[in-house]
Amino acid sequence: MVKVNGKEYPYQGKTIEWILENLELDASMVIIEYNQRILEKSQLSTEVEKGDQLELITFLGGG
Amino acid sequence: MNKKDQLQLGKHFFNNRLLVGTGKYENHDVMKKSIEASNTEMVTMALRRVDLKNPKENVLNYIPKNMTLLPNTSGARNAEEAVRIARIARAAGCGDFIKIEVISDQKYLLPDNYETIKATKVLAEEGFHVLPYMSPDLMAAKEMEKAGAAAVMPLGSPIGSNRGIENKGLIKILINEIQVPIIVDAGIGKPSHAAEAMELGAKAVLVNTAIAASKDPIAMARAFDYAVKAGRLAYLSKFGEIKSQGDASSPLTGFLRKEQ
Repeated sequence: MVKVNGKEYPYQGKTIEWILENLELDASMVIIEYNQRILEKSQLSTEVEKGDQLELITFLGGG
Repeated sequence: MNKKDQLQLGKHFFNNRLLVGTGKYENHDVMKKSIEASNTEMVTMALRRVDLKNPKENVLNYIPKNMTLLPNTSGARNAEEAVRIARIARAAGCGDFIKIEVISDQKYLLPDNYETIKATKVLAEEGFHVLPYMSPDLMAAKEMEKAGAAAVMPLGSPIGSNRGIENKGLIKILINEIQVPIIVDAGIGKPSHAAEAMELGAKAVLVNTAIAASKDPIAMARAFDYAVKAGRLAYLSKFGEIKSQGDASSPLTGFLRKEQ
């Protein structure tokens, strides 16, 4: 299992690009933290492994 | 002394002294128009996990280009979390300004000055332009300045309370004693509060709720723009003395009485 935003998903072996599409997310609108490091947009073809952690972060209104 | 009376934050200069938040607007369109009406040059925003069940659009899409972005570390309960958020924001391409907001008090939303000082040290060393949001305390402000903050941002009153410059006395002390700009952030509820902060000598103000939650945010944003400019101009014009007695404004007339 792979953790995405704290929840487990059966995504091991999939690319991050695939995961974003599966979650219906636009890669240009999210910041991707992969195992605690910011992922460059050029690295979307990275394949995730069991136990990996993805944080998908975006900007929201705030003061 | 700069002729254009610009606001200097670290290496950056701004022509406008009203900073605006992007939270609490009814929709992104109103937010965008309010930001434009305010003439602001710097807006704040938050970073959050995407809600996978309901992914909203990135607020950055609605912020005019050429705006300086001031991401905040809201959500952080300690220095470590604030530093992590700041690094993510910078890696996302937001520039190097960061508003440190470390709050573990959920009742009053008062910031944790101790954790904020720690985060300021780390982030200033990493080259960020740090704007720490803090509870007005001279010792804490001195530590933040020493740690390399580009400004210090004391709260006027609690976030979202609209109560104005309740901390006037303490804020004035910071203005007197701290060299970096003092930016009053939080609690400003009316344009007159913003003018008051500027008349006191604050170099800028940050306003969110008062604009976003008003009935007509676009008009309110314009009102705040005028108020900040008025307050600043008044401060620069140096006020007249406050007197205990009256002092006539019109010349005394003799012709009204029979005896001269």
